Amino acid sequence: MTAAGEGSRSSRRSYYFYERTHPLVEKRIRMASAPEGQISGLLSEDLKFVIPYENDSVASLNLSPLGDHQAPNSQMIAEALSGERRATPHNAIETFIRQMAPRLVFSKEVWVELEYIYDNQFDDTTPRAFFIRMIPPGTVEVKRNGVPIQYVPSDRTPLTDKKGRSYVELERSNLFAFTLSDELSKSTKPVTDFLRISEREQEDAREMELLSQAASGDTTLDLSEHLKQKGDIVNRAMSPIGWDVRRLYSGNQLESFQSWRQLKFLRFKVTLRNRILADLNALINQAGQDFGFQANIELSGLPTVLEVDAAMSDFENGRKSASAVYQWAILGGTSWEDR
Amino acid sequence: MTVDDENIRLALDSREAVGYRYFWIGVADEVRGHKPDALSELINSIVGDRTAHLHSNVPRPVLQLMEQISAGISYETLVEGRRVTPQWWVDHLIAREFSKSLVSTINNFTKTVERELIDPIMGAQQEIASSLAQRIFGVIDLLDTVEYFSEVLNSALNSYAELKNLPTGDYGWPSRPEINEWVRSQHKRVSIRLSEVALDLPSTSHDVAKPDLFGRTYRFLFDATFDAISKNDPELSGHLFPTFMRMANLAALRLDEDLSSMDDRERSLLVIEPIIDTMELSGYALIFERLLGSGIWTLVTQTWDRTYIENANSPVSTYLLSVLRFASGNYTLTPGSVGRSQRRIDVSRIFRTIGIVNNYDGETEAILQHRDPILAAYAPGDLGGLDHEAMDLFVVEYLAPRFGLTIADLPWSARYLGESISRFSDEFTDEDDSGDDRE
Repeated sequence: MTAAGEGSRSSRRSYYFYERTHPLVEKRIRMASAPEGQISGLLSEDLKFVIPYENDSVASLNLSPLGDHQAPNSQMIAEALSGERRATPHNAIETFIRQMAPRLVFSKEVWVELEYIYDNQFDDTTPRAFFIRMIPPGTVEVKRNGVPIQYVPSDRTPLTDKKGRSYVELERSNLFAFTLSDELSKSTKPVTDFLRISEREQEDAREMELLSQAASGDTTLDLSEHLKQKGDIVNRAMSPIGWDVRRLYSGNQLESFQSWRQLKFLRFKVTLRNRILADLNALINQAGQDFGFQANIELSGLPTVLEVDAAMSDFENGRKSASAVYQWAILGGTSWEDR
Repeated sequence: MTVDDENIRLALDSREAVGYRYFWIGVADEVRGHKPDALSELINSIVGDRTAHLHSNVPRPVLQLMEQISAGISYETLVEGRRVTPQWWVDHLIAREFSKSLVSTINNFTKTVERELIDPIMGAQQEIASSLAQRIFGVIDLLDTVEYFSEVLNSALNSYAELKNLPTGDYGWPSRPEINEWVRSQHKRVSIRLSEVALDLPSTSHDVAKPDLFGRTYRFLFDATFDAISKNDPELSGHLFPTFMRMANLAALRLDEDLSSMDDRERSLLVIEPIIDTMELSGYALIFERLLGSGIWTLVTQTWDRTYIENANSPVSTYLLSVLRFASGNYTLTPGSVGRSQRRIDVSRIFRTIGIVNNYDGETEAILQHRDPILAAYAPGDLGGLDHEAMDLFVVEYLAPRFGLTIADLPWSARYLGESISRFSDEFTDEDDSGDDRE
């Protein structure tokens, strides 16, 4: 549960668990997670491209001491983000941002707990290290009295609410929530709502059954028409974020449309990345208050929203070709190819 | 073959290329309105309205692309609530398809014409000369039509290219066919072929019930030889000139027979025209060789030499001088004199383009730079055509030295030219002797 060794003490109160819990908690978890299903899985993977993989490292960490504290150690931040001793700062940062992107899109808010490790069992003033602990989506709730709690399996706690849900109380000052901006929420809500409904239908195997009947001639369902209509519906649903569903349903799409859509998705990813980065900086600096440092994480070599808008304008006005903007966007907007 | 059979055969031969001409005119008519603005409007009307193509004459591949784009834009409206494909992209793709379609039509057309019309003419061995000439004229008319309407087609291709999106580049765009270059090369092929059968054509008195293939061939070969001389194609002019010389003699005989009912003076004026033609072409052969640096003057003189050998018992030079005296002393407008005036104007234009002009102040740099007495004598003034006729040059530079004639023996027009050449020659020699430095 904690990273505290013998003779050390951890401040962590939250749990990461995989067991089934109370049905109402299960529902909360389901509503805050990526639904099971092919399309949701692909989208989760593609959202990790908020930082392209093909590139050299783009993240850098600048640390400076606060007051008369010692110079901070960047390795400590890398460990805090990744939980691994050998992680390099830029790898840890990039991996953290990549993993956060799909969670945030599907959960709207992702809670993390700052876990502090103390050498002395009784002295709370001088933490030795800290870790950033993800809390399973949908399990955190802030009660009316302002006390945050996490719903957990019953064997972890004696506390139970009126509906029979077991919970632990969390330390407010050690919690941090990654959230979506209003603009991002407006884009992602119809996408995640659609996927939750459509993936459930897939899960119920209704579509598979129909397709199987069509293949055996037991029904008049036109398979190609079905796939076309499905493609139209899925692509329309993904429109707010511009995701092209990996061109699985690209029947009537023109090359120009595909380029435009890639740019739109890139713009969404840049906006999402900026939001996660801003929150991550705030989180690291929250820990920095206790350790006496100030941190600033920067990403270089990646396009800004303005640059994506400029590329869109260039495309719309014929200053860039459809294939050039497609290549640029699919590579995360890192370099223009001569096309 | 009966007379009727022959007439039917000639009538059919004359129609052989007609279908191709109509086809080419039809292609030109289809793309005549393809200006960039009108094209964009057409594209929009068809892309925006899925039934509009029913009223348009758009090539099938273009139509298919338009339908595809139309479906794509409908899809965008369904998925995004609006069209996102920019107009330039649609214009680029459709203009490219139009271009591919037109280029493909042109290439297929030219290949087919070569295969179906020209190659058989080139390879025909046992053909009756009249029939072959008739077919060649059908092809020549077709080539004229192709060249005339190529401007319309090139204009359409330019319009398509104007809609090309430069950042997208040339990918998928066809290379432009050189229509006029193709016309020139085929014209050359059939001109040579026509010269090969020309002397087999009946040159007897003209029968008004039949096409005058001899007369037409004679006129065609004169124009083609002059064109080849003035456009520096010694291969072609060298091929045509000797045949033309032989034809001219036959033409003079036929004219004499055809015009036997006219009075002597009028008939003489017309009968000498073919002889004047040969002297005129010969003169131009020398002018253009001096002007362009290469030509067929040697071949011309050899051909004349052969004529004298073949007609050793005839006073050819006396006859030629008489013809020239008669022509230069006559101020009646004949079809021949009108043609010669036109050619003098055309050639003077070439002189001006090169920069050889005589402003009569004795300081004309272009004349001095060339330092060629003949070109200097022919250099046109600020207005009008050449000062001298080309046949006079033939007399001065070939006939007089060949037969040891003095300048006094020559007709006045040739004398005048000879004096002018001598004057420029002396001028240039004096300047060279005085070591005039013009650098």
